[in-house]
Amino acid sequence: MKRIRLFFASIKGQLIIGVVLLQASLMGLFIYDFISREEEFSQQRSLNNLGNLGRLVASNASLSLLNNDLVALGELVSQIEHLPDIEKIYITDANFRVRASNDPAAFNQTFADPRSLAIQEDLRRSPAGSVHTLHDALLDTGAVITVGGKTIGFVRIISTTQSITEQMGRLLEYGIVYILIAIMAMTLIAWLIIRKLTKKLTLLSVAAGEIARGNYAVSLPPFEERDEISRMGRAFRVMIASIHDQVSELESMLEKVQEAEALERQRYTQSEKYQRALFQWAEIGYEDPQTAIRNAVEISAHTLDVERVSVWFLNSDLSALECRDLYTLSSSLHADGFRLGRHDYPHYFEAVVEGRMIAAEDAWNDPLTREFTEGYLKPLGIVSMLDMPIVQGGKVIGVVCHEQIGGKRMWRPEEKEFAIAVTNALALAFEIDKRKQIETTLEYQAHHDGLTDLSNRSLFVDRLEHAIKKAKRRGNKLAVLFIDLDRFKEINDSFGHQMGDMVLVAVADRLRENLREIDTIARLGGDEFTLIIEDIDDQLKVNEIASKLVETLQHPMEIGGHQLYVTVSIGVSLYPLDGEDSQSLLRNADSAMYKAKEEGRNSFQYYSQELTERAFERVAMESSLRRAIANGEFVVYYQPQVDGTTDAIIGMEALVRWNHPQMGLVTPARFIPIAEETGLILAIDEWVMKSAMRQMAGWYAQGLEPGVLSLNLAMKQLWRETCVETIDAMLRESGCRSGWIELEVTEGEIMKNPEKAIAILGGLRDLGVQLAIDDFGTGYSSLSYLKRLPLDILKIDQSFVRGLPEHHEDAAIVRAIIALAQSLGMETIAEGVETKEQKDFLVANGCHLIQGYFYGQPVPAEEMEKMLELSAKKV
Amino acid sequence: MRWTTALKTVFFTLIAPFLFSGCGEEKTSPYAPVFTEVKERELIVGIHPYLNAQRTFLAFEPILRYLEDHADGIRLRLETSVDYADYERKLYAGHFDLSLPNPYQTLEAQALGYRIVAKVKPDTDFRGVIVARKDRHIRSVSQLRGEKISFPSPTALAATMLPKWFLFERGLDVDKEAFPQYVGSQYSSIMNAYSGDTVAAATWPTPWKTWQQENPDKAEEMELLWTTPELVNNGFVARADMDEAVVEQIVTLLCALDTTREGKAILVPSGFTGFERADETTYVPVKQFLRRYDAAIGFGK
Repeated sequence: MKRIRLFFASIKGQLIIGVVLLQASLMGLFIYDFISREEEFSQQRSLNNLGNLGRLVASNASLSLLNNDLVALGELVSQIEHLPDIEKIYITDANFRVRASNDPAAFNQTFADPRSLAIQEDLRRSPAGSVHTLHDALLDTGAVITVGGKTIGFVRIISTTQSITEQMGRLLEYGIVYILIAIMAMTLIAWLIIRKLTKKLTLLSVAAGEIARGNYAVSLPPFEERDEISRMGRAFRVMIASIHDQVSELESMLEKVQEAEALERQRYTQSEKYQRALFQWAEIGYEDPQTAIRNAVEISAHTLDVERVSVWFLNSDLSALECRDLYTLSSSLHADGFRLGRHDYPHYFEAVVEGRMIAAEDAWNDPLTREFTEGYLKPLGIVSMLDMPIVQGGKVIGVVCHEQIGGKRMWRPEEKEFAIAVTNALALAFEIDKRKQIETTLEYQAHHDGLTDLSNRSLFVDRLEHAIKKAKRRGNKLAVLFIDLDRFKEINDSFGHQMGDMVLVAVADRLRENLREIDTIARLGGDEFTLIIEDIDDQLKVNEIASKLVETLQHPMEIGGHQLYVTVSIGVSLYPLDGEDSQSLLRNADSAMYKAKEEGRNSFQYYSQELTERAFERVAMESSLRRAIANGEFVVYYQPQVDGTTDAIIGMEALVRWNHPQMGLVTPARFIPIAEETGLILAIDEWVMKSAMRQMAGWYAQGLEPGVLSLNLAMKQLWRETCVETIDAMLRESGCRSGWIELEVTEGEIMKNPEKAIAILGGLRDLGVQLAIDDFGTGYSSLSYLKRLPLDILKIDQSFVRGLPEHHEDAAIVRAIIALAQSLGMETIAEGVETKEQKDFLVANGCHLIQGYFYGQPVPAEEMEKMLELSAKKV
Repeated sequence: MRWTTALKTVFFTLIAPFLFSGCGEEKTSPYAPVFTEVKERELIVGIHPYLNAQRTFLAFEPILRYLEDHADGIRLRLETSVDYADYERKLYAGHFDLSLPNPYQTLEAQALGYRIVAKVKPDTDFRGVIVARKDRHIRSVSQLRGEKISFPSPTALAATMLPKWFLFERGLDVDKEAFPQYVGSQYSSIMNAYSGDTVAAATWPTPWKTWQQENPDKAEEMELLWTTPELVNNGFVARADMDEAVVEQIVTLLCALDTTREGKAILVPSGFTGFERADETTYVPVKQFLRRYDAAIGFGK
């Protein structure tokens, strides 16, 4: 009994019991669960089978039951009563009177027990026509016998579950046998494994006892297996060995520590001096490298008591050392500017470049410093040297030299350490300085334009906000100028972006030259420059500056061998008049700049409320324009063109007017730019052309003589691929002959792409229409193209006519144009003729065709028709 | 001691039930249903099988339920028959309390202990019809000579005897000059002609009508050749020992059936339009016909 109790107390015993119990209970549970499920499943299956049998019998019994064929019903019963487990079969009529059964006593009787009555009730209500129940270990099923959906009787079959019970019994027997076999097998295996494991544990526990007694020479097996206990055993072996080693090492270390402690105590008293010196230097700080170097040489000389201490820098190709500072202790003087070439001192240089410390007690004979002896050491009386390379970011950048004069000196370790510390501190100072420089550069780049070196937008806005605050505080005014180069895009397109950049730089330089230091100039991007002028008392000063800038910038620039003329448009906004924050001031200056552009460039404009209103008007105008096309609010007006010599109407120009429902007649100057911007111009022009052409055809049909109709060909229309076809179609649609039509194109537009213009205009002329060039003399026409363009008429722009005949320049230009036209075989027509003098001048100079208020302003078709009728009567 | 206790507990709770459950076979007291006598007396009603059993049930069950519902304490049970032989066996043995036999069987039953109490109406429906496949192109009686002709059964008055008599009067003695096939039921007779097993089929109008309705596609291929003159319709008899009051109650209800909408609807599946009172004298024409028939053609062939 005691043995058994001992066995259960051991790990071995407990593990085996545990394994067996776990095994037995798990398998027991498994088998129990399996059998229960199997039994349930079998019962369910049998019940289903029985149900099917019941339904089968019911369907077979129906006819016999109808015929009351008791013999046939009896045969049916006897056919199935021998099936396994079948206990009772009853076939009844609709009133549950038994008509056939394997229980002879039941014949012609009806069920009387409560369960049967319950089943009858269920059957009567059952929609499926069958009822299954499991009671008293019996399977009880009932099925309805129907004919044509009507119940004529019932079948009831009662079956035992005996075969299921037997099957389950067999399963259980097998299960128990398996459990017992498994338990035996597991017990054996567990016992074998556990015995093996515990054997090692026993060995280990014995060994541990020995070690505790200080006996490290315990014999243990090698534990070569891979299980945890073997690993523990191996670790245990290592541990014993290591404990053994450590104990002996500790003993020897103890002795060494005691020695070292004595030495260290001695050294500490000396090094204290150097420590203090280093702290002192650190306190002085290193705001800039130069100060750091100065401090370093002085402190080193005083602390180490060395006559000469110097700092040298390697040049970029490592070919020379340049002295940055040389301090002489006895005279307290600093010097610099000396230089050592590498080819003169190859050994020394090699050591320095490799970052080696040079500590020469006898410098005259030291292999590294020997090469200095005759030319340097001897004359200066230097006998010992301690040179420390300065290493920054892994690269040697220079060297700190300590030169001893007088008796030889052996450099002690703490002195070397001090020198190294000073060198490292210097390197750190340079590093910090380098970073500061990079930061400064980055800071600068972040706020300046890379191309022109002017402030960029962010710095400008910052300065502007600052200036606004200052002005607010002092009650001052300030001005923001928005400067934009005129036609800069043309320079870029013609000469290339590189040239464009050079122009920008040149403009920036000119701006700088003409402004005070304190004025902030910035390039916002592209060809836009901005300028803040502070402390202005009155607008006159701003006028002065702006006009000076306009004037200065229009002087030609010599760039890349070209002489370029650059003009600027300047917009000015004033604080606090035009805005009280940077954004609105900039925006308003920008708007003003656009106004300057509209006013003819090369000028400056102030921002005003009126400008803002105009901007708003544009938006409203655009939406009304779209509506206007749909509503038919446009009207064609006709301005007569007259032969100045005979005063006879020879044609007319069709001009569009907008009859706005609220605003009344709107002039083209107000809506054409917007129509062009939005592309509505195409629709408007087509409408005008069609209406005018129809009108023309109508007049000719009436027998009137309207002459030639002048139509403006929209720029956008001109560049369309279908331009010629569109015009052709319009002519045919309106019934207007091509000879009655003259199309006016503008000079500037043609010159955008002269080659294509020549092709399209050629196509138009092939239709038979005449072509006129509008606003001649205002653009940059190339005469060579003018020659090649298929034109019939040159139209002299009213800007030249206006000054006639007093203005000599205008007169000269007009005469030149007329002469040019004549030499190219073209006619001329002058527009905007308002006075008799103008008319006379033009006629006298060979321009007979006149258009303008002098002969009549643009009028609606009805009025023009009256004029034509009048003229016809005259004739 | 702890371990042994634990072990015992585990053994008895987990393992022992498995070990012992197999040995002690539990015997539960077996269940058996308990029975009692049926006290109610039912009257058995038999219908001559002019419809098959299922159709008979569906046609007459509603009529019997109607009678039960409207009469006092009468329980009626319909009992169909496998065929005419089966029906006649039961009828002549007095098995039915009430029965609806054909006119021939009506007279037979009367002789064997039944009273004629009512009959089916109208008599106009009680005639025979002879049908054939259209593609046989039967136009005259002589074409049937030497051919197979299907009949439901030898004793079916309307469906067999009347057609036979009709053919006999037109010069064809079926039993001698053709091959009568007795195929058990009205539908069977028609189907035999349809399938080509026989050249023509004899039946009577009601099944012919319903067969046509139920098989319109097949009916397309068939045609009605001849219709015989009418005779007295099916009778309704009660066994002579029946309580007269009970019989009277049933006959009254039956004859009033076609006077209500509900009653008319119930009658539809049977193919009859209603019942009327009848007695021995009503069936004199049948008796006379049978006498002539027997003399000329003879029964039991």
